Amino acid sequence: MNNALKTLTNGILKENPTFALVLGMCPTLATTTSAKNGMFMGLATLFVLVCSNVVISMLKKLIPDKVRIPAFIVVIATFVTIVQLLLKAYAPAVDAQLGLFIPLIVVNCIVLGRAEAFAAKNSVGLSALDGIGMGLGFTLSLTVLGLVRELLGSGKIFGNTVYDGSYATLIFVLAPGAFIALAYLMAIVNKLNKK
Amino acid sequence: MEKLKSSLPNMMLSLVLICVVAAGALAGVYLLTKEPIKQQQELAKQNALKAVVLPNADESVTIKDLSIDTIAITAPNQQDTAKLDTVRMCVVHTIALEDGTVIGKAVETGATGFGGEQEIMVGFDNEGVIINYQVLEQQETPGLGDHIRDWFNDSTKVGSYILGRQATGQFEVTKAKSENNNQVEAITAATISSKAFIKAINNAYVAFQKSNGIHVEAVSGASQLHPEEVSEEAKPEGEHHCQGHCQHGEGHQCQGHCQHGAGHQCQGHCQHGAGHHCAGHCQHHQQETEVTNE
Repeated sequence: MNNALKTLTNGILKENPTFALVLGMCPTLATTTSAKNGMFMGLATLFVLVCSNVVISMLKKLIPDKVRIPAFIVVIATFVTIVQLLLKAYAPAVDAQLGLFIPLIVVNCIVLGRAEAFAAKNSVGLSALDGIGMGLGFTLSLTVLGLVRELLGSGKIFGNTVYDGSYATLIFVLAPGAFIALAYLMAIVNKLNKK
Repeated sequence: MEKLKSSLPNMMLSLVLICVVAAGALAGVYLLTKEPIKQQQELAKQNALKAVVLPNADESVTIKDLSIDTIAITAPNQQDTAKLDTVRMCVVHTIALEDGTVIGKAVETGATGFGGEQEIMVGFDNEGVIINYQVLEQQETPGLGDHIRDWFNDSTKVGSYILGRQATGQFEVTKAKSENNNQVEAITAATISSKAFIKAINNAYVAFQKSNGIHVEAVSGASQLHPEEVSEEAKPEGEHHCQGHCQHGEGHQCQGHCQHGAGHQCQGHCQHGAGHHCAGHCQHHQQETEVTNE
């Protein structure tokens, strides 16, 4: 039980995919222009992570070692496409906002990374927990990063105006701001983890 | 169960099986989501059409898309006017109310902006006055160029507000104060995005007129082709002025068609300085009002 709890919480702070493992930087930097975008990107990744972890841990005995990467990628790509179709059908606004980055979840290292490092070696239940933990960690860090960038860059939090946007520091919504905000958040999380 | 060995048959079998199951799952989800996705797209299009021709109508008002024409226009190359013109396909929707009254046209067109293609939809009333526009797709810089969505329809910024303006195909971007109907103030720090957007508006107007059977030439919007253009005074209510190619500076010979009223032709004076002759057809009403600027 202790083990399960540890697996679940591992991804949130100690092995946080963004701030500690530094995996999946592309969507992290590109989609976090607002807290909402970051959150939806995180949730989409969470879904794919949990599904692919479960399926891969179920199939781990059936997949010969030499072809494990293509097999994992097919599984992951299937779930990503399912997410994309579902978003298009039931949440077109989110789909329009995240656009290209949904299909790019396929190549998000965190998904393949967990499949390879965890799901291929552990039981179905633990893999599911790992997927949830890692997914939540990813969602949280993207949301926080989006929150910081949105607040500094456009004066809003989750789309609600906090202060006049014309006083905002535009650079935080642009690419350089993503790196700056990420670096500071990473420093804070590392400081917390060291304790 | 033992883990499968990496022998050739094992590898092939395992991969084929996984792919077959994956394909099956995808086909299933695709079938399930096919209809909702189509509905969402229809809805999005219907909403966009309504937003550009009847922006203030409430939910209950339905509009009919009477005809959809795809019109090819040649647009001047916006980056470099010396280069070849590009051909652009525009989609013109003729929009009517439930009872069949045609209220205007919505034109889907675009131009190349700073970050990629800008796809916009512009609503014109039957006279060619811009009712509203919507940006369908854009990749402009967030916080700068992506203001094309809310810059030109912000009524607090008179110089860049284009709704309610008579389109002429001659709109151009200015960084200074807008002095006449054709000058539109650029988005601060996003001149290229603004130029592309205005270019797209000009393209839309050309397509709109072409769908009415009238030929108009658009300027690129990127450069001021007629710096000598004089300012146009605010139109008095009810008076029908020539607004197409007919408002250049003094000594400028007007050529070509103006764009009012379908097939309505009249010869004679434009509203320029006294004694200024239009070479082509203007199209005021029969009893022509000779108006002089200033």
